[in-house]
Parts: sequence; C-alpha cells; structure tokens
Amino acid sequence: MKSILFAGVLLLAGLGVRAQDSTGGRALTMEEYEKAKTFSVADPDKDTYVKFENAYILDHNGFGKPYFITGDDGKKKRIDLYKLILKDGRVELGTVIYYTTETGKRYTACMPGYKAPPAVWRKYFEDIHAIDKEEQFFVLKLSYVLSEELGYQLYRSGMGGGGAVSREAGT
Amino acid sequence: MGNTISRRTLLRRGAVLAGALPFAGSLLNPAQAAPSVTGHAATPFSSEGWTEREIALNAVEPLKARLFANENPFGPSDKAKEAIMNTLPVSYQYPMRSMGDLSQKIADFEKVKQENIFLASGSSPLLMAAALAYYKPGCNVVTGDPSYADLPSKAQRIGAKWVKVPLTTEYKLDLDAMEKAIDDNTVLVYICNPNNPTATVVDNAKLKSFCDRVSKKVTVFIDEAYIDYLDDPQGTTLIPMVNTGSNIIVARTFSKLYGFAGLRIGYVVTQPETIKKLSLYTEASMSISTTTLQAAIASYQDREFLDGALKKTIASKSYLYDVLKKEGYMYVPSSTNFVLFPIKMDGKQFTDEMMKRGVGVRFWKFNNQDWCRISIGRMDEMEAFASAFKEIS
Repeated sequence: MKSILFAGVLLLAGLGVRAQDSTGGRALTMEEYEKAKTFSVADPDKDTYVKFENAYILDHNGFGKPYFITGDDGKKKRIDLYKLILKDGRVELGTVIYYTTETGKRYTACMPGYKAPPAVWRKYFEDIHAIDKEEQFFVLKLSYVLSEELGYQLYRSGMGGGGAVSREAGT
Repeated sequence: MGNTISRRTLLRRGAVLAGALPFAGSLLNPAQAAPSVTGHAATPFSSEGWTEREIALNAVEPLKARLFANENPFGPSDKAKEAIMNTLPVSYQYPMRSMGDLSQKIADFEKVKQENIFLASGSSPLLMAAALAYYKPGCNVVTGDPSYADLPSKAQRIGAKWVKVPLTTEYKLDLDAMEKAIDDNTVLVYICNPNNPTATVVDNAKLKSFCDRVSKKVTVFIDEAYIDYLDDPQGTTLIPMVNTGSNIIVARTFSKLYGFAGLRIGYVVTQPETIKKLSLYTEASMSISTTTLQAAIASYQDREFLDGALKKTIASKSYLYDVLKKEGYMYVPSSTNFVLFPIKMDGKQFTDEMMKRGVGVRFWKFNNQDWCRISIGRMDEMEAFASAFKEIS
C-alpha cells in the first residue's frame, strides 16, 4: 500500500507545484503535524470552523458533506475532512481527517500540505499505515474519499474555480 | 445526509491515491485560506451579500445578538409605548388628524412649512416613489459604491441604469467623482449621509456646495437615516436648503435612533411640487397606522430618550472597537450605530459561522476585500458577538 501512495505523490507532483502558491511559503512542521493529530472536533455535524490555541484553525468549509462508506462487510465508516489553517497569515498547512468507525471509534490523520518536508510526509504515510493495521481497509477507504475530493477539485479547477461550482454538478 | 460512496463505483473511477489531495486543494480554492485575493466576480452574491431580510429568514432561533439590520434595541421610548397603548382603543379611526399633528411638529422643529413634509410608513415607500417618479427611458441614477442600495436597486429594476461611483480611500462618498458621473440622462443623485454600510460622513460644507450646484441640473436625494447619531444633526442636515428652493429631497426615518423600525414611519422634506410628484407613486401617509403616528408624536425630539439611547450606543460601540483591536482587526471609524470592518475570510462563511453561534451580522464585498457590517446592539449582544468572534477571528 505504501508504494501505491508514494506513486500517487510522484504522479501528481506537477499539479502540486501550482497548489502551493497560496501557502505563502510556509509549510507544516513535524511539531505541528504531531500537534494537529491531537486537535479534536466535538461534533463534525455542527463544528465546521474551530480554533485551537488561537493559532490554528480546522475549517470544514469547502469540503461538503461527510463521507459515509459501507464496505462489503456491511460496516459503515464516516470520514470528515478539515483544512488545517495557520491563523497568522491564513496559511493552509494540510488536511485533518477524522475517520469514525461503526462503533464510534475515531482515528485522526493529518495529511500534510505539498510543501511539507519529506520527513513529515513519511510520518504521515507511516501513521496511516499503522492505523490500517488496526483498522482494516482504513487506507483503502481513505483513498476513496481523497480520490473523490481530487476529482472534485480538478473539476472546479477546470471550471475556473469559485464558489459557484457545486459538488453535485461535478458528480 | 452525507456523501455515500459505493466501493465499486469508486474503484471504477480508478485512482486510489491517499496522498493526492494536498496537490489540488489550494490551487483550486485559494479563497478558502486567502480571502484577500478572492475572485469576487465569481461569487453568487452582490456586493451587499445577503440582505437583512434573507438573514432574518435564515436566522437561528433563538438569536443571541441581532446585529444585521442597524436597528436600535434601546427603543422605542417609554413615551412611544405608552402612546401606543393609549391609542389602541381608538385605533378603529383613520388617523387623518394625527398625520397633520406630526408633520406640524416636524415642520416647527426643522423650521420648514408643513407643506414641505411628506410622511410615509418608513422611508422605503418614499425611496420607491422617487425611483418610479423620476424614471424615464434611458435614465440613470448616480450613487456611491457601496452605499444604501434601496433606491438605486429599485430604479434599476424598472429599467434605469445604476451608475456606481467608488468611495474615496477614506470610505466616504466621493462627491467630486459623483458630480463628474452625472450626464444628460441622470435623473437622480442619491446621497446617503452618513453612508451605509461605511458609517462615514462627508464634509458638510462640501456637500452643501455639491447640492447647490448639482440640484440646479438634477434632483439630489439625500438620505439622512442615520443623522440622529451625529454630534450635530441640526448643523449637518440639508433640510434648510429646502427653504431656499433647492431641488433636493431629504429623507428621514424613525427606524434608527427612535427605535421604530418595526413601527414604520419616515418622511421626506422637499418642495411641494416634488411631493405632488412622489404622491402619485405611493400611498404614503395612509399607510401609517394610528398607533405608530401617536407614538411618533409622543417621542419626537424626546431628548431624554434619544440621548440615553445614544449614550448606550456609544458604550456598545466602544466595547466593539476594543474587541476588534484585541483580535487584531481594523475598522472604519463609525459615525452611526453600525461599524464596517474587513474580515480575513470569505464573507458568506464568516456570517454563516457567526449565525451558527447565534449572532447575526452582514457581509459586503468590495475593493477585493470581504467586510462585516455589525450593528450596534445592547451590551449583552455585543458580548455575544465578542464571544463568537473570538472563536473564528
């Protein structure tokens, strides 16, 4: 699974060069990466914009409704995505992912922004791999969601961006 | 309901790349984290964002702070409430006589003739009447931008061109540029002073001189809805110019400092011929209830009440300024009961997040910037704003 993920990173590197233009040169540090994994949103249905330490923001806006995935085993998982934003300068640092199982157990991952150092990326891959060992098909289901998000974002890009492009229109 | 994904559907779509998203997100939606470079032209909202009506209809219940409509929560006065109660038993009667009583009272205070005053249920019907009365094919209405959009938007709806003149760098009406924008097709120049949504006031001498010149060519409509919040309303109002025959319409309302927004009463002061013209397009006086008229008569120029409401407004505004400064925000210094300040995120998202926290405010988009306009409320409302604002600032 790890090799597939890294292949994805390489394939999309060109797109990523443009993606980081709005981040103002600031990238997610390892310390912030570890900290972001501890950020908890009490109720993803209501808490769409939450500040932490008056320095970081988790912002669900733009990600649409939560994802629900039911596998062949009939177990329903829920995935919520939040942008991790540095309050000072409104810099997007990454994406925090809440993966909630059918029993209510929540796994948290933090996908770094493109400019994050390789060590942070490696740690992310190691972390989601570790979760995958505990929670079967975690990475696979996460990849469904991120693929869908990528598809939507590409669609928006193709349509010229802006808030008027609905998710429904792209699917 | 959320997005429900069937595994097979996704697999058919191919890519299974858990590391892909960060390469797309910022590129495709730069406005999310960097509102100052938002492509505003692409947004579905006008420069005014949602209107008060839309906000009110979509508001959460209960609302902790109603700060989106520039109302005065300290009103109406006790005298007004008492007058309403006392008038109820005779409210089966048409209010013919009390209309004259109120207009005479206003005329006496403003030192104009009663025939110069035209009452209506708020200034809205009079703004509409002006838009209709002055319309002619190919005409235009000149306003500041942003400014109160009621009259020009109505004029635009019936076919007039709306000529918008950007504000000065101090967010004041640019009178020089507005004068230059007037052409042969201009039928009205609309001046909102103090201006809404910026809460700024133009230099008085300059405005008088502007009206002197411009009114010789075209009717100038001066909306003084917020003038009662100024230190010297009598020294600022252009009503005296009506006495010298100027082709101006000065609009006033009880909806602001008098706290009558829900009671509905306002008026214009202008030439009798202009009133004749406007009266063809509005029921005006007969749309005012007898209770409201008596309340207005009872509380007109009630300095004790007005000064008290002003004092409380100033205290709440001062508190707001402190909150904004503490959170690192700028604001446009306000001469009214509302404050405009630039925000650091998308305006719609900002007002939505505030509303989720029980606080209703409005947003604007202009000068490539998102703005919040917050009305000044009771101190408990300002504290509710502060609490919500700290969560998302």
